Amino acid sequence: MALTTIELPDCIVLAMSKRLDGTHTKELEVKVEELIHGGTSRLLFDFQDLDYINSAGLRILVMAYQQLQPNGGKVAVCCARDYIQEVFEISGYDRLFGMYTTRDAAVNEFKAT
Amino acid sequence: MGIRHLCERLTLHTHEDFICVVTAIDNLADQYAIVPPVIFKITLALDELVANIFNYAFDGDQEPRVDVMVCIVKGYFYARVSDTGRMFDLTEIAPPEVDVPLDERTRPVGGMGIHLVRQLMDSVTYYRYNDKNHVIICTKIDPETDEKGAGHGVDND
Repeated sequence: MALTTIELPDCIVLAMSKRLDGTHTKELEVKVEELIHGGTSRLLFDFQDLDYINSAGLRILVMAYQQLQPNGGKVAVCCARDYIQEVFEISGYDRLFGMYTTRDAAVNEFKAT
Repeated sequence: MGIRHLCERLTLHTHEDFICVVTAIDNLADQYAIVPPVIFKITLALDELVANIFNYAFDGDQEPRVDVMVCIVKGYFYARVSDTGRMFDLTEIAPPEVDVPLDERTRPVGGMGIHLVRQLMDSVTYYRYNDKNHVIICTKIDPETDEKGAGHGVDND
């Protein structure tokens, strides 16, 4: 997995590629914790180039949501492949996070709120 | 001949060994032209089963070992996952409260991996035999394949 952090005016984008599993999950967890402790309140996970995620990877997003949501923060996901979107629907997590088909749509939503 | 010539058997001692299962699935995918969404759900189901076993099945003094067999039979993917850990029937586990907001859930949050396995596969079967847990999962690899056959096709140890 390659993890790229992009700082935008209204949110931080975490873009990852290939597989989010195994040791990569820890790498993402450390990054998310670092960002939240550094004051980030709006996180956008960009899955454009992500081929695989398991429940350990999903847990990182839930962890971010649980830390940010009570304080008015937000977590969103964009560009997930159809079969990854299905996993969010099966798990019910599509109702926790904003799910967007493009990064622009997600960023615009962050701007508007 | 039966199904044996199509099967691949793997032994895992840590969850990190799961990479050999990924390779086996990739090989089957190449041979049978399995499409990425099906490869994804097969890999995810096995990943969750194996993770659950290594995380919870073994006592401290037990050497972890998980045996995985994967095969394709008549348009269906089958896998059997076997372990010598404590008895655990995943088909008896209540599903997570996915329709309830996180902060209103009455049961401890967890079990999502097992829930994914049960939702993604066409059939999930558990049995205990020779002091081992055995889970058989099955899904069709080709949307055109008819429904009969799911849930059968892997012999006992």
